[in-house]
Amino acid sequence: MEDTVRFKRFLKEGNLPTPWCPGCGNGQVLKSLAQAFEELNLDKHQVVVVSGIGCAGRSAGFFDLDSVHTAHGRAIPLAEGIKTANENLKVVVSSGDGDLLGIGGNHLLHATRRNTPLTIVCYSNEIYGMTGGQASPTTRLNTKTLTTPEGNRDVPFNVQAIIKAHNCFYARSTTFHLPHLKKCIVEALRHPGLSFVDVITQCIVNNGRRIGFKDAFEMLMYYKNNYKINDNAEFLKDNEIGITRCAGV
Amino acid sequence: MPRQKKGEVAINHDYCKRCNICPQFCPTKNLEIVGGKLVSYDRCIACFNCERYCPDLAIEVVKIYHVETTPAG
Repeated sequence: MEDTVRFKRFLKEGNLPTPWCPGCGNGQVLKSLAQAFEELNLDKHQVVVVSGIGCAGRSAGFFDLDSVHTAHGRAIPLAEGIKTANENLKVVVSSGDGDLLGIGGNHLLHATRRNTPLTIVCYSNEIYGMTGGQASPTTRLNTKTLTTPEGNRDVPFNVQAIIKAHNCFYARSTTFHLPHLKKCIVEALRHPGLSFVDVITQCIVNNGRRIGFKDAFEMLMYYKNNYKINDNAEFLKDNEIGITRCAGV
Repeated sequence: MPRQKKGEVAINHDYCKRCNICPQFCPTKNLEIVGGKLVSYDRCIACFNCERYCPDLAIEVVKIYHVETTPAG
């Protein structure tokens, strides 16, 4: 087997193909997660993947590990329970922005307060994709969606400020910068406390086509041109991606 | 002398959803969607872009190693 596809041992290839739309970025994040596990050479019995409901919630079923597909928004409390019961496990929450920030927003706040050693990978596609494209907590200002035909009037969730408020690890990446994304997930898995990786993924069918993108490749090129890597920042700007380190770790 | 191909693109047609990401990432225009099916020609330079960006794990690139021979004399 070539080195580049060795990560596939963490995936259940019998369950493939993935159920996501053509061009969806969730598959790329799924791959990056498996590649990060491979890079750290983790034991399959030491990792648990927990996911909630939504498009990204389907990701837990593709890992050839102990994985839980739990109730809507409750991925973090369940993961905290697993970590409390057996603190030798590496617990990874792999879920979407609607699940983690919308329905499960309160759980995220309290998980950062307790600084439970979890790795949260948030597939932030800025839309409720599975239900047809309603505005989600991360939808940008003035974005046209199914429920906001004249543009979204609310500012998006400032996830970075919430995570950094309790001195937790925060990293942001996109699905265009895949080697950088893998690095972010590896650093997050190495972090001793709560770590949050915010992955900006493309949703072409329910988000991109409404705001004028022709296909998934155009969205990826938009990420390429719009986002600059800055791994030394204390606080990332809107158009920056990178790893922000927390003080004292 | 024509350029030798440096990689073999193995496409899993059951996984491929024809999302048209890999043909646009390919620097040598080696991949193309013809009649609703992804096809690969013999211009691969083994840059692994298609494998890396494929969201559906449908592509595996196998590198081809050519033995360099110096002409006799």
